[in-house]
Amino acid sequence: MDKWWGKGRVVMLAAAGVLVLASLSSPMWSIYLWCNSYPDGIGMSVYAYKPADPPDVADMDGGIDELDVLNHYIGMHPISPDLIIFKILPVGIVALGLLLIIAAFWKRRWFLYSVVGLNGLLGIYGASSFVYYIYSYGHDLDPNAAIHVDPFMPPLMGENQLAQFTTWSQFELGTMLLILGSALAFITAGIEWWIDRKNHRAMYSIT
Amino acid sequence: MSRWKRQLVTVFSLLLAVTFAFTVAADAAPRRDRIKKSTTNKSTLAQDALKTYVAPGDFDDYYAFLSGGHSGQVYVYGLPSCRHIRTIPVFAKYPATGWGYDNHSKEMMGDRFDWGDIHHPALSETNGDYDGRWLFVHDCAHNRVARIGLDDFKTHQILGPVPNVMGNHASSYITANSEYVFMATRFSVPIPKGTYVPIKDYNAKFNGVLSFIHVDPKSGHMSLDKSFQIKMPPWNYDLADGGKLVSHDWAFFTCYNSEAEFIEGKPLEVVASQRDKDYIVAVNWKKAEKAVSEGKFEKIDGIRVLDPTKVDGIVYAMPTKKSPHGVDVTPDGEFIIGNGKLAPVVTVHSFKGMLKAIETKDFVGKDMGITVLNEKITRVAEVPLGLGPLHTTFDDKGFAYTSLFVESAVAKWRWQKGPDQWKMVDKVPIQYNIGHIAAPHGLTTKPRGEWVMSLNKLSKGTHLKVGPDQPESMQLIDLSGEKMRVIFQAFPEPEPHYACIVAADIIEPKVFEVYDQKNNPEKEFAVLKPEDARVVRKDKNTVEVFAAEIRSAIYPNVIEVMQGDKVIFHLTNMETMRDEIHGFGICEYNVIGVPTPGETQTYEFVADKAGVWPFYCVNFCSALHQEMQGYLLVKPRK
Repeated sequence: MDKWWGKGRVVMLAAAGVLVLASLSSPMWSIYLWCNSYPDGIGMSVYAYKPADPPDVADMDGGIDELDVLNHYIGMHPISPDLIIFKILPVGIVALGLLLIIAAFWKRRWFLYSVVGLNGLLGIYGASSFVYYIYSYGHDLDPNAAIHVDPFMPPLMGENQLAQFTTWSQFELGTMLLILGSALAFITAGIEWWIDRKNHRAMYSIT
Repeated sequence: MSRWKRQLVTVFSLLLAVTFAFTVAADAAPRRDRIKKSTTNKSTLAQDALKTYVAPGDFDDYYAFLSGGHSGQVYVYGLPSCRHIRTIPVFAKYPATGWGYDNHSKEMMGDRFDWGDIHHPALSETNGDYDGRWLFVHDCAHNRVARIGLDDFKTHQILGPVPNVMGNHASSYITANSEYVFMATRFSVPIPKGTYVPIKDYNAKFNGVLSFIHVDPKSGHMSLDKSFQIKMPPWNYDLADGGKLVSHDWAFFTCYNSEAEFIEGKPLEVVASQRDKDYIVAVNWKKAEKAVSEGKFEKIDGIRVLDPTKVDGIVYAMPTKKSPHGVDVTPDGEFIIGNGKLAPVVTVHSFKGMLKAIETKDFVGKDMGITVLNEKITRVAEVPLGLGPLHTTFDDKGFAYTSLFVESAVAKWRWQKGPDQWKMVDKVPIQYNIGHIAAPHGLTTKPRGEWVMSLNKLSKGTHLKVGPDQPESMQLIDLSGEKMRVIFQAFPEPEPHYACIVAADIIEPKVFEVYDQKNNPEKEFAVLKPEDARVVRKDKNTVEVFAAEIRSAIYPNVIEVMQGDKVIFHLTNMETMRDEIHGFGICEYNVIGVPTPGETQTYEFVADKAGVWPFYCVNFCSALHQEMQGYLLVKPRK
């Protein structure tokens, strides 16, 4: 079993590292909005390192620029690529991906546990600051704006109604790859911990 | 060991399955299709199609006069077919009819501007309903107002630039017996025009002006000496409507930027949107007329201007949500509706309430010298309709129809007494951003119902692609059923704002198609027999030509002048047959004319290029149209 696990551990951690790195290639989250005058919708996708047009913007009425133009009427700040999360998250993801690959081959238990710990921290940071930014974009509205709306929480998932717009928002492939990679890393660490505990027990039972 | 493998495989497959599911869901296209409304079934489509189908040879029920925006023209459409019938040029040249090239139209247009910006046509009214005599249009850019005759569909007068008024947008609305045409300032300036004041003094030294342009009840002639103006605070006067029946003596104007500020470097869209309420300004024009006739005015730039801060009882402001756009008076004249624009409601003020507030002096104070009425007394309802209400029109059954720009929809609601009064009863989506809304006789005392025409602000890709420049859209809404239905769409030229829709039987009997020699506008220069055509040398440098056209020749067919001669060219279309329109163009000379049957026109040009220059009929007229030509011989001077 230990022999088999030696290979399994390498495969899982390397795969986790690759998946985490691959999460940069796709959006993490998207929001689409439709109304009568935007029949093909407008929308925005958020990558780990930038806000951007959705990948299918060519088939739509508009992307992030149009969203910003509309948002300015209600006093919402433009979606900024300069947010601190777009600096920390990509660095964190690249570092995590590489560290996971290193952990695959450099078989130190403390190192694996540290990397998985870092992974957890990064996950908590990413998720909480994402929710925080979404919240503050919907709440930190310029009181001098032409159209006054009550502060609102932009919908994170599924179909919703926002003024004249039907919205659809969802987490995208990037988030899934990140979760998948992280899950692999956690499972690997879990198995490692479990085997370690079993071996310890076996040792103690011999003595 | 195999247990481990099994567990690993399970974990992996689960994760892969989740990833796969998300990848599929991430494709946006199916979602769009799901949200787009499903297509109407075929039998309904066929019924809808029949409602707008006007067979060849049949006529439409209504004329729709669409303003042409900054094209400076008016478009005439037929309803319900939504077919373009005619373009009436007003402020811009239109070689298709020769407008802007002959002396008569050139003189009317003046030599300073050859474009204008027409937003709101107004048909002349008698007792609050269309009488089919004239169509008034305004020029938002150059503060002019023009009159089109509805017997010949031609422009007859262009008045302006009118003093003091600037950015004339709340125009050309009209009183219920066509006593006055309104003009109003959208962009306040220091008056008289030409005064220099820095922008920081906007609040103190800029003024808006409401103008009442007098219309001669017989001829329709507009004259400044019988007109008057009202000097107002520097609010942006947006739209207007004349009172009807009980409210006949009153005129109503909406305004935004009651903040009365213009700040360098700060967009007005923000500056003017700070107050929750702006005003509907009510003007007792009858009383103002009287006060002016009693000498209570100051002449500014040659026009009589009344100051409402000095003469009581003329102007009142009614607080109305929020930067209201259109103001529309109900067919009975009892209610004044402010369309919220930045608030999702229409505010309904009652005329009775307004009079009561004035009578009991229930004022909340003065704003920049203008008495503000207590809205609790004037307002009878705030009807929630949806986002961005801009304009309201009416049918014959007690319902109002309001365009919702932001939401792209038309809301139907009841204004007349009844079970649903002040309630929305129906809403229909429009496939682009709706602006104005028009209905047959919609803003008169006798709306006809049947149709609502939705005009547009942005056509939003509802047409075949034609490059970056876009046509506009209009959709026709059928009111015959219980629910409103959008059943037809057409694409007019840029850029209709508002339209007036009038029953064809009111206009048609008044229209003539051939000039008899009594109404030929330049009959003193007419040539009625080919043998009377002649070239007359007036002096050393001037030649006067009396020419005529009839199928299929131009008389004279050779015209000889000296290089440098000024040529005064009178051309009569001698035809007495409808549709035998001839044209006249000279190759490589900028001369074109299109005299209609029985009409004489005059063109002036300098024969500065020596040589032989053909002229010909530019408007197809007959089987031998190609032969209808002649030569201008310009002899070089030694």
